[in-house]
Amino acid sequence: MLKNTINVIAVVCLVTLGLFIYHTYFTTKVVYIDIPVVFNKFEMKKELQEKYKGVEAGRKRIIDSLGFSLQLLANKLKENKTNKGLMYEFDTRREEFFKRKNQMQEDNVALSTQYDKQILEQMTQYIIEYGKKNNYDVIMGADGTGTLMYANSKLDKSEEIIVFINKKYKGIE
Amino acid sequence: MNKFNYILFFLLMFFLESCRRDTADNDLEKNTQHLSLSNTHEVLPVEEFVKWVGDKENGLSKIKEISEMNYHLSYMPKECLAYMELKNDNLTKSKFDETLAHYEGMTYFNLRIELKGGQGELLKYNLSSPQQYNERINYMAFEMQKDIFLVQGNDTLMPGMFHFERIYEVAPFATVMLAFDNKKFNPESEFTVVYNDRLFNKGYIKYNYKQKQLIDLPNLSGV
Repeated sequence: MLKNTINVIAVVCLVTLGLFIYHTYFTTKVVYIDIPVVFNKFEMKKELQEKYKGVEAGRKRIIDSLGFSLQLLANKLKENKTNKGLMYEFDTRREEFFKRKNQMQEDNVALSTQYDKQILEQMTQYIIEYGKKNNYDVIMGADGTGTLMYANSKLDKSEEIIVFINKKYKGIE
Repeated sequence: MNKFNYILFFLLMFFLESCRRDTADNDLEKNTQHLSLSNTHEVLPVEEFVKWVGDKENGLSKIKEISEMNYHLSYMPKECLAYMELKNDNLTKSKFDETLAHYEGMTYFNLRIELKGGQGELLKYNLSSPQQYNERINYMAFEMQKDIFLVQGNDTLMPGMFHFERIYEVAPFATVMLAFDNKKFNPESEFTVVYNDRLFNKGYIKYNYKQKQLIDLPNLSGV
């Protein structure tokens, strides 16, 4: 009786060991993340977005102020259409206004691109570190464009990764 | 004999199971170990103390890897600075204490930017124009200190001392020494050192130091 029990336990253990070895060494560990969710919840993105909004608002104030003074000048010109000096000043300031406006729009795009690059670079780095730390073979990115058509939600590591990358960014981890 | 084999088998199973530990648990255990190590206030000779401080496992020297760059920030206790200053001279207790006094009142850090597996001078990496090299040197010598700060609670503190260690020989790294005035922040409380990397455009790089992390150090056994 005792011998049989030991045999059964031994078989169970052997199967468990086999499964463990198979699972550890012969299966590919694949998980996925929802890229927009992770990106939007990344602290660096939130911080730089705030910074960008501040810079953009500051530039907008300058343009609004230039536009306002141009509008005043236009009103003056309406009342005094024959004043050549005023017309010249208006043309010069209008040119300056559009030049500054275009320049600031270009600067906004450049700043946004620069911040996106910085965010993606750090986010990617921390996701690599997360993958290595947790022994994942593949981390796929779902972005709703069809690169990942279906995956069991159990494999979704977005929330876990958000916690990890935010700790990495803050220098806590 | 068979029973012996079974027992052996069970032991093997236990061994394998104990090896298969969650990485997070391992890290937690590691952290606890470090904490307990630093809390024991073990006594070390100065050379060992310097090694202990530089050991990344002890959390005072931190590294951030971002793409092709490594950013090391190391807390430098005044004992380390005094030792480094005197190690090539005749190191005596009185000289050591005298040098130590020079470093009072500030909390020192060393920031090293390194090109991973890099060759050649760091500041010549990916130059877009020849004059960019000079711009980078000027940036490191005069402008970079505006991009490094310490955050504690709602307070932001700029470095009270900043020094770019110019290396004229070819080296894939650059080092700056910085220090914060102890009167303007509390080194015993949690704080974060932030570097906004405009040199290689990697953005904010943060290093967090926990409460009492800078004071839970081994004691010196003497010089």
